[in-house]
Amino acid sequence: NHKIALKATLVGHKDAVWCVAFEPNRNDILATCSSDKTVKIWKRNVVKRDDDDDDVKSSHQTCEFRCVCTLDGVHERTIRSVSWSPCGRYLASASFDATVAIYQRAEDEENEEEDEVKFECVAALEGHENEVKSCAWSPSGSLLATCGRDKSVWIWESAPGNHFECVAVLHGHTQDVKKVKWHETEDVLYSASYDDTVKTWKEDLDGDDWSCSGTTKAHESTVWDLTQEKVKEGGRFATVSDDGWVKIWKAGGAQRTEISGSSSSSGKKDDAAPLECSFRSGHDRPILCVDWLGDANRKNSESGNKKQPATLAAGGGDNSVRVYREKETGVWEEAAAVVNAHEDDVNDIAWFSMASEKEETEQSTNYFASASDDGTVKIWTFCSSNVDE
Amino acid sequence: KSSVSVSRSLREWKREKERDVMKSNEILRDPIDAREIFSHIKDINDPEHPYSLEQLAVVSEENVKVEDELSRVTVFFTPTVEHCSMATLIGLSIRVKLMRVLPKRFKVDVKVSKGSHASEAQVNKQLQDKERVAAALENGNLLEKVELTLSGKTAM
Repeated sequence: NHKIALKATLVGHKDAVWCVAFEPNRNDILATCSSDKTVKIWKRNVVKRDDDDDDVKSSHQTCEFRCVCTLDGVHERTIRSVSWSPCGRYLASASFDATVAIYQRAEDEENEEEDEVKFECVAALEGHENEVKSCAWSPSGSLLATCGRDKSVWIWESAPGNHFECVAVLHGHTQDVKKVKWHETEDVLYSASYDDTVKTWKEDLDGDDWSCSGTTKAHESTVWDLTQEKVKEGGRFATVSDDGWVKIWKAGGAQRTEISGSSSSSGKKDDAAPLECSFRSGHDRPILCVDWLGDANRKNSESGNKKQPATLAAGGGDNSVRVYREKETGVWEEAAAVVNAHEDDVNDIAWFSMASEKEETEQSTNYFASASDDGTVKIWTFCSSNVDE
Repeated sequence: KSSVSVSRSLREWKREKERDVMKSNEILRDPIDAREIFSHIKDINDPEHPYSLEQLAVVSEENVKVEDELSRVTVFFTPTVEHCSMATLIGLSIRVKLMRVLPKRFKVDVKVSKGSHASEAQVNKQLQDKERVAAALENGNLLEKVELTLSGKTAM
């Protein structure tokens, strides 16, 4: 009863696309980055229709996106990751050239109608020794985290005048750090690494130092991505790995949000991570990306329908995209899959919300985008029956 | 030499014909076997010695696994010594060569043969990491070494 359908293919990058990120407040604008050394901004097409009956011009958004801005000439090598600031005015890009660039959106509301989106590079953050692999803006927008091949995680604080000051260089991972992700609402950072672990980083109570508050050996191989359940006070986590497993980690209240219960240095004797469940995915190559469907992105959640079960989208080195749903706590199943979603590895996946034309009560439709080594970004719908068989 | 090029162009012509037929059947496949994979990698030079990987028995046809239907290729290579420091470079060269010659549908895994290297797991993990491979191929010095081995020269 569940189905994934292709809605649009975004063509324009000349090489592998590594990351897709939706503007946090709008969802009709997305940013992508590529081995072609560019960042592209895409905007959803709006179709204006003349309604003959009452002479009112109506418009509706399509699934088609078109490239409205290409940011090039900033990085010298592959751009691995892009992240929007929560306000949507800034964009950060992390590159294999060891730098992170900050772009500011031009304040020009009038041009908005013309479908122009302009960004200007306003800062370059240097410090990483080599490839920067991920960047992420904190929920408050005041901090930017970066990580890379040099095994370190950096935290930068934004100051007036587009200055960025490094407030912490965090060591602890024994291999390259693949991904940094912030807690949904708090300044708590998670990092996933080639060393098979996930680490939690927090600011000390006196507020001038960051340290690792938990380490979990999460997988048998590289942890490629992690995502948090989007509920108040922070929900559970999902991690995906080279080892082909998806793992769901418990999270307690706001104060107990680290993935791991403890680390050896914290003096607690129990080193067991609060693993809720794990399941072998359908991917028969590394799982490279995962995203937890958020309430905001759940179509019909506001219209009083039965709440949808927890839902994950994942992509991997086998060219497939797969959607998993929680049947009951600790029991997950593959709801739908597209085996040859792309012609090459799927590097990133992201849910987004979109008003759909017709409301269907028995069904809900969710949208997600996938980015691939084949140079394209694809837009998909996941249609699911709300009535469980 | 000319006969070689003639037979090659004849082969290519035949292939093209075959492709046309397959296209009309909507099956766009050019089957690949271990022999063909081996022919692509046998002349890669060892990074340190003036011999090819075939001459040093680093690669062999038997150690190439092809699942054509699934578009998967796995090449196991055997470093000459257990502590060979060039293992990742050899693996990278094999990967680059196959990336260049194989149809895009193929997923290529390059691994050291079981028990043939002291750091087998680390070498394999590194060669399997697409991000590290992508970064390595943007590294001028490293790419230069790869190019040398691919053109039949030593890299050191």
